[in-house]
Amino acid sequence: MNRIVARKRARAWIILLVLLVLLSGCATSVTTGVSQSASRSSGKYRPPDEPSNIRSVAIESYDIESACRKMVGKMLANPLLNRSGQPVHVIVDAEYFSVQTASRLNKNLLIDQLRSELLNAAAGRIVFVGREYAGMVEHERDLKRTGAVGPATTPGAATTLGAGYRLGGRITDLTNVGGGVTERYTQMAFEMVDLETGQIVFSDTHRFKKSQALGTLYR
Amino acid sequence: MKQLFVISVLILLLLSVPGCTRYYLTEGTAVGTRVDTPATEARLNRVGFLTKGLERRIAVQNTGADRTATNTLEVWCLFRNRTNYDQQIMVRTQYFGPARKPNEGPNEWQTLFLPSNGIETYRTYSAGTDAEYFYIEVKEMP
Repeated sequence: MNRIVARKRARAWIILLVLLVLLSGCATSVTTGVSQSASRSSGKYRPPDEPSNIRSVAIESYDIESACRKMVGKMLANPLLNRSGQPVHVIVDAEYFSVQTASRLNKNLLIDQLRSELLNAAAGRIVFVGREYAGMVEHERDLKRTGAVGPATTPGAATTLGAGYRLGGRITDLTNVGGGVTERYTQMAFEMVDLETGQIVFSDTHRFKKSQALGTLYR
Repeated sequence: MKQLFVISVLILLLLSVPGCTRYYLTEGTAVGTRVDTPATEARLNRVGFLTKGLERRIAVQNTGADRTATNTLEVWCLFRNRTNYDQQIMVRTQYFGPARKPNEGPNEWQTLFLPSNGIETYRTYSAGTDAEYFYIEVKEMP
């Protein structure tokens, strides 16, 4: 009798052990010795050219990247700005670009990216004049002319570059609130103006509309 | 009893040994795998759907490319919503040079809003003048 009970107990233990081994085999384990907890933290990197998970109506990196790359493609397809043979001189800075929106935005974030992408993509087809650095350039030129410093590796120029075109534009928006939802329509307008005649040789907009459901506390 | 014990220990060993090796990675770098199948290659001058099943809901009516006045490439694609509800998709393009070499990274993800049973045109431009082929990627708006 005792033998039968002992055998039954042994069988039960064996089945239990087999089940435990099987279950542990199914579980995924960390085997590299490196903690994986960092990947689950809230400070992880996200692709800047994809919509944010925050889902707010404000301008986000996706909007800036989209606007910049769209304008680069369109400006380089414009025959007035991208002449073959003789490259045009342009100023792309934020001096004549204004932000008239409900949410705060550092316009340099947009314009710096636009200038950088445009300059690299143009590959010499457009000459970029750094007008915002004019003071810095003049100071160095004065030092060279007075003999305070030696000549540079680049040949001396009688004058600094003048520009044929300059970037202008603005960001504007329209916000509607109702029924616990906020909707914002944003427009980014980019224009290139002829600095001799005032003619606008390029004009395009990047527009988008976003909605956000507000919690009861924020209504 | 003894026999049963020995057999069960053997079974346990058999189960636990492959179970352990399966989850322990070997140190060092892994060699990249190249998969040469028509389904995985970038089909130049065509559209690839990144979201599984989206190709059944969105139809590609036509694609094409033209040279602009400055010799850059203008790529366009006409999409049609095959469903009875509105859909949002994201579209981007990569450009390839004469030797099918990728010479321009993917440009921005453009958002397209397709009304139920409606059509919408996606249009984009290359920055360089040496783009000859394009590959359009489409995914569902997250």
